[in-house]
Amino acid sequence: MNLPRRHFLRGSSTLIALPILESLGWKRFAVAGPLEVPSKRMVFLSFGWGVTREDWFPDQATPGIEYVMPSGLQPLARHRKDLTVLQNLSNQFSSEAHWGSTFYLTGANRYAEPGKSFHNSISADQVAAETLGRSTRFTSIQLGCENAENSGHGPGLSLAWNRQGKPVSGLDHPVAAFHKLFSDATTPLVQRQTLLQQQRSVLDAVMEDAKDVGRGLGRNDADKLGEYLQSVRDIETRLSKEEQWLDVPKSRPTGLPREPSETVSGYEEIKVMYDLMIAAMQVDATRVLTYRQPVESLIKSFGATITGHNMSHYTNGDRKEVSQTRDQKQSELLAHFIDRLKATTEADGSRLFDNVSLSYGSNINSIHYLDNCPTVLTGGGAGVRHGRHLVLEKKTPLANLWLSLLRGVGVDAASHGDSSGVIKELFV
Amino acid sequence: MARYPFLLVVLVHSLGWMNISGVVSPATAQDPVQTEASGRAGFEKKVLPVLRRKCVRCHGGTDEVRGDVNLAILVDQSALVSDPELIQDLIRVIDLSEMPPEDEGELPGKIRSSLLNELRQQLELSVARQDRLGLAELRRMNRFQYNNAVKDLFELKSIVFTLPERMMREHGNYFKPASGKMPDHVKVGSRPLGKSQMIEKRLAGVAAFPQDLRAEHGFDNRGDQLSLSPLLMDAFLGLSKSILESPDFKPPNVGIWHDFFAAPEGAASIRDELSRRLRPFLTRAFRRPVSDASVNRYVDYASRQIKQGNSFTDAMKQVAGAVIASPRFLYLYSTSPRADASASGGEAVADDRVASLDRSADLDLASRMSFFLWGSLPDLELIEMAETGQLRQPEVLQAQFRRMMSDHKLKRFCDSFPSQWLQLERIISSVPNRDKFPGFYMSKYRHSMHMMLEPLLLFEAVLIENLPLTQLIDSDFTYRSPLLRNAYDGSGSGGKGGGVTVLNFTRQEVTDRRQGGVITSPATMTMTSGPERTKPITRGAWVSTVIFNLPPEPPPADVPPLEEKNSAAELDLTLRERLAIHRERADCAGCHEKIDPLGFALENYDPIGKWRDTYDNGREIDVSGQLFRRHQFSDIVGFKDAILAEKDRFVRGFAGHLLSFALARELGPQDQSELDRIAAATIADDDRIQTLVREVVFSKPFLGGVVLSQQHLTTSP
Repeated sequence: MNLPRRHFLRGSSTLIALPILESLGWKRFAVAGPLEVPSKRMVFLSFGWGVTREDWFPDQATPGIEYVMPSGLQPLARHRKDLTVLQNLSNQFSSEAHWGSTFYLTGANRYAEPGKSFHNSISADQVAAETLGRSTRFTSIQLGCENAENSGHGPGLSLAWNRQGKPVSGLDHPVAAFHKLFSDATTPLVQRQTLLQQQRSVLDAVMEDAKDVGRGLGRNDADKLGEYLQSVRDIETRLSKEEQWLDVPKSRPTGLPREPSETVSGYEEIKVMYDLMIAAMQVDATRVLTYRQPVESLIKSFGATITGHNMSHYTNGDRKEVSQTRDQKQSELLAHFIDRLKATTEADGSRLFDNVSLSYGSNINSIHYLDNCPTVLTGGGAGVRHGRHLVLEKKTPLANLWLSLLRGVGVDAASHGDSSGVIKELFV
Repeated sequence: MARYPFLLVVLVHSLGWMNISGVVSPATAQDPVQTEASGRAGFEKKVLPVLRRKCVRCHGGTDEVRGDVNLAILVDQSALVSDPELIQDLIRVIDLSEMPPEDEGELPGKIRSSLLNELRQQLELSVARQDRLGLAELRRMNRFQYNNAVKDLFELKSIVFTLPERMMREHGNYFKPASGKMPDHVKVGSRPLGKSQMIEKRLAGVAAFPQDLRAEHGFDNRGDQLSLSPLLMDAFLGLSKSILESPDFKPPNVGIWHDFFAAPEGAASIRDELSRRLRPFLTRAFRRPVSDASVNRYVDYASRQIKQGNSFTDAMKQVAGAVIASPRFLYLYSTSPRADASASGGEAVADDRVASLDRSADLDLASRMSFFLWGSLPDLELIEMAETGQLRQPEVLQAQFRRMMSDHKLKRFCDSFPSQWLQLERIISSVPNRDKFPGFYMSKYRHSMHMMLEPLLLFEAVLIENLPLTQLIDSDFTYRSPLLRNAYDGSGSGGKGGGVTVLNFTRQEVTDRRQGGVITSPATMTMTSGPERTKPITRGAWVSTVIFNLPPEPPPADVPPLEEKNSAAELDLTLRERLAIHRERADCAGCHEKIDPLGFALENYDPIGKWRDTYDNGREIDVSGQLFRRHQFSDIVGFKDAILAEKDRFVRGFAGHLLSFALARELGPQDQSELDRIAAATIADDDRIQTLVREVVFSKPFLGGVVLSQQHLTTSP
């Protein structure tokens, strides 16, 4: 029953390759003791609503090393030499002023498919995960927050979108993230194996039906059915991976934070998530992480009573103060994250910081502006020469940045989204 | 060959609106060569001169194209007929007198109608040439349909999971379509806004999957929007499991338990028994007869489960779980031959289809009917009618249609179409300012929970009682709760009664024409307002979209919204004056001239739908305007009269909504002549709603590949 399905399923006009199981060798490799050379990691952070543009962006007239850090970035001053602030990046197709994360890592054109009111394409982190995620327990980890729409992130379940442009789910609370990363299932192994087998056999049955449906369909219909086949395939791949790791207990780093509280929210929530990300990278549970950070609960946690959206429409006065404080708190948290990255050592004695490529930003500039997306880079993973304020040509595709970082960590991508090339200035 | 009947339909339409649903033998069709020739002549005589005189100055005459549309490219007829969308647009703007603009001088009536006539014929030629069959594509069930289909397949005594999109909850079984009469008193509840209305008898431990995105100006059953992701597939697999493993999934709640899940008594061969049970089950689940190979595959699957030590019942549950995660269950698709089948390169036809090749179109039709009217699978009777070829006999189709319209399952149509047509989900997020409208709130509940039920009940009454569609515009009755009577009738006749759980609605006469119908209902007026003020443009866009099926283009993204509160400088202005200031861009004015008057006409209704004569600042409210540059009005009754004067447009617009819902796809140029026909037949029968529904079912795109076996059909349902 299994065998024929592992070959190819012939749709009327599309060939769908069925999963080739990843070799079990991966697991052996991955748990075979300390690695000689630490692997590269990629971290993508996004916040929804944009920043206070007057106090966050450095003066464009002073590119290079000698720039003044505005108050919004000030808390990052101690890491200044290890940061890059970029200006004039944007996603040319973005037109939704409340969607800070939907197309952030994809650069897709929402209306690219005629007749559809929504379309997306693969996000940079998922491109990275295809290479960097093969040997880790989790191909990638997506973190998020509750009520992401209120935090200006727009549609999506996390920052991640798969090859077919479908949303990838995220862990929206530190407690969920903690258990996913570090808690082992309590059900006995045999039971879990049986469960996996059952899931497999259902997939086998439905794939046979899919073959029946697939015969003689027109092209549009075959594409539609392709979604089904692709989904089954993805689930199979995931099940295979689960199977490989079924009898390997999850490892916990020394100094793993305690299980977070259910009520943690806002400022503390972001901090806990950052700490969990460090811990996950320490035990090499995953090498690709994204985080759609909360904004609304962040401002609430320092006493603001307005909504995130209301804040983003700041005018001089209270709302602007909230917006400014929020910028600073976020920078403070990021500075803490960088501290931890620098303080964590790898098997070969290098700092985790040296092997991570971290980006921090939003698809929204400020208020409803979508040009010049706020962007900060740090970490040594992608080989970016830090310490500078880079003012790029206006409307440089944000996807150029993702392409540059992907290539920087050694992922062989020809292009990404609407990229027109790499940003050479990053590396010289 | 396939083109001939179509051409004849064209010919008949051009002679006037005649009701033909049947197909005529090719021998009587006109020679296509001749039609082509007359098409060219018609274009050169009736279209081209008008374009040259009236259009190309702005639309592409010299070096500058002022409008988005370039008409200078239409140098000959072949250029025109190659673009059916353009012809459709031309018909719309000319028919609605949107073009040519006033400063160009209007077209004399005679020229206008001759031009329109000619363009309609050109559209037919164009569509015929495109050879579009326009069948709905393969599409996934949405979660509403999934819920119903699972319930029907297992004959569950409860629903699977509660859905807020089924907005109105029925208490005490008032909905009896067979009676042809809505009771005067009904007990209902508001699922999204009322108290405890989401707590109903359902399967414990089963959670709904996320609601599907609505198409823009469309319904939630549209195939192009219903995508599938690994995440959702996972959800479907999880759902199958949780449904079958629910503690409520046990004999008393599952109608087919005895015949399907219960372990067999006696010692018959287990394989025979499995096969005997699985065949009808799979037939119903997949909506078509299944091949022996298919049945055997599932029999194998079940036998394996039993061999592995599972009980018979558990094995059947495993099988049932796989069946409802199968694409043959989850997806609606046509198996009948279609225009683009050649694209698949003449592959071998699936074994399942060989057995029923000549009935596949009939079975597709049965599924289309049941998903349209019942939001679910066809029952065995309907499948049998299709399988035996009887469904293609008009009187059988008619009888089945009548049967379906009389079944309680018609409630599912009422649970999906009207609320989406009216965009009623918008009321859920309407939160008028609590300080300004304290009466709108009842502790943590809102009056909107009562409001939203009124138009839905009106719709159900119009449908069940087969009333004219115009009742939806200007009804002489309505259903109201005591709370609504108190708040909106102005008579104080309601007494107490701000229920939050089960709400009592009573039918009452409407004599004051400022009330009645869906447009001026408190629900519509509230959901098209902001927290502080009414939004005339939103209201205008709603009227244009919902009533006339003319959705305006979305505004450009870079236009700042009007602040909710008046700034100091604008304190003394009326809303109309304020909007005029904010509408300085010339490229905005074009659209707004059309939609704004439809919204300003409703300014007498405040943000919670109450009547007012002046604004808060004391200024008089000016509602005057004109509809389609034709009908002047100066008050709301005049506005309703104007709409009634254009009721044929409303009927056709409504037909468009309904046909799009029935076909689960966007309509295109190829559907226009059928819309004309459906509307004409409805209008000829006093605008009766069931006639319209029936005409949709009997329409060419809905019938799909089914060729009815007789020509003559009666229109009365």
